[in-house]
Amino acid sequence: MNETAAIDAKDAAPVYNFAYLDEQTKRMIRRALLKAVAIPGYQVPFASREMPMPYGWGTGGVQVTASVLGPDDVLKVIDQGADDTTNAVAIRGFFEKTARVATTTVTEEATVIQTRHRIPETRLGANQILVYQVPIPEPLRYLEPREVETRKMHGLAEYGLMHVKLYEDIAKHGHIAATYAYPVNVNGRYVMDPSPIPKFDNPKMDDCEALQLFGAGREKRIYAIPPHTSVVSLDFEDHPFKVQEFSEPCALCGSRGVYLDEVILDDRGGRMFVCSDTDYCERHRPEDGTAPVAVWEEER
Amino acid sequence: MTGATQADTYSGGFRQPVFDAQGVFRVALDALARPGRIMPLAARTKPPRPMPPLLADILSALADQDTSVFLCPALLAKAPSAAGWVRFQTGAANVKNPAEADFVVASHPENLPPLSQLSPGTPDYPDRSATVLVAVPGFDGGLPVTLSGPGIKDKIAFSPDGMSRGLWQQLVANHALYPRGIDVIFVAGEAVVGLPRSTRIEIGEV
Repeated sequence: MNETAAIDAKDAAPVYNFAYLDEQTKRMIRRALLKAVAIPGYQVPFASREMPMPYGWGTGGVQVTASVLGPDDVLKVIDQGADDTTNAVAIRGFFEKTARVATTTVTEEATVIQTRHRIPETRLGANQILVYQVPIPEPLRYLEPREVETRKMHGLAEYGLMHVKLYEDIAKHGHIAATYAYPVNVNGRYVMDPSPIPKFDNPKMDDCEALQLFGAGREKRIYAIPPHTSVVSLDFEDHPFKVQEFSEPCALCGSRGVYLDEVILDDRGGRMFVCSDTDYCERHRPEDGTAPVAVWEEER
Repeated sequence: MTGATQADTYSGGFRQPVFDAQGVFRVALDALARPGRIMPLAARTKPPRPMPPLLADILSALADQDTSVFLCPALLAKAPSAAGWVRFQTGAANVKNPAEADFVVASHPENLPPLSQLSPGTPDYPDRSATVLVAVPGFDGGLPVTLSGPGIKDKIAFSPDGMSRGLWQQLVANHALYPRGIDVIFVAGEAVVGLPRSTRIEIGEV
């Protein structure tokens, strides 16, 4: 096999190294990934590169994916659970072009899944790697803006400030108000930002069979959760961690116990709640096509 | 340098640098993510004999001009051209002081420098630590230990040949430094086993 993703001679597009990144960059990222796996939840600094997409569009996840991907991998990319939204389509196309890897939308078929802000509903297996796109990797950043200080706090496992923040939520709102990017403690040591996944997905990270890798491009950090690692959402004895609950099932496939997105149908308050995981939803619809499309409208 | 050692130095690297490096890295990643599990890895390089090829494979995949490598004196005594091979094939600097090395390489556990000499990183930057690549005669028949921790469901037994009780005690002390500490990749024949600093080690059977 040719080592570059060679392009047909007739279209004069540039020839990239396999998976776009040069080899020295991949080695640097790979060394960071090995350290990240050895120190679960610790943010390893890395020399993030400029990518042919703006910060905020998954440059960290793309660099991690490019560094782990091989020619035999099958790649799935999701954006808020969906395979068919802009970010997912663009990144899938990027790797189809630069690495010529097989892609899929079926969760079980993928060996590498890059995700923005969701964990698939389908349970992940030991042969899979989940790569998260991370905007702000530092869970303490909004509480303490100075990197020198937050680094010291992680070094000393000094997380009192985070518990004060959660306590203030309870004092102000009566409950812990964070609904996404809900902080977790990894392997009983590092407090970690799970990226802006809904807290609904937090329990899926604990004792997961798959390897979870996190890449923050603008902030230049990589971190990881190895398989079968304890991931505990922070809480208090009298205010235990709880995930979101939905009173209605998915309007398209009827699934319960899944994370639902609200879809606005008109300008009169009409709306429906459907699975955010499009692959899961499509494969759970009744086969005779008579799924009750239980569009429900808010009382007006 | 004689012609023969020059040939030794300049040949035997990855034949497909992009895919060979990726393949070796993925197995190393899997090995550190699932400590104690024997991960098959076919050798891709031909370093100067008797340097174990898998040590050369992992160096070729991960070391470059940004890293430093310490090759244990016992290995260099038997394979003097190994230093030049690593330097040419990876661009990494050979260092004489193991405390300065990113990668510490030994052809047998007995030849490792005391692990307390190696860099364990700092409390603020525990990633600035050494990675040990060590060949063992085999993955069974040695002193049994029981591993647990991240990457391991419950517990796993591990008994690499050639590991003394004293060395295991050094690795127990290494885990006590967590999150600082060194990470170890064992190689034997055509397989590797990872032992990151996060793994708890009990000397003795399950």
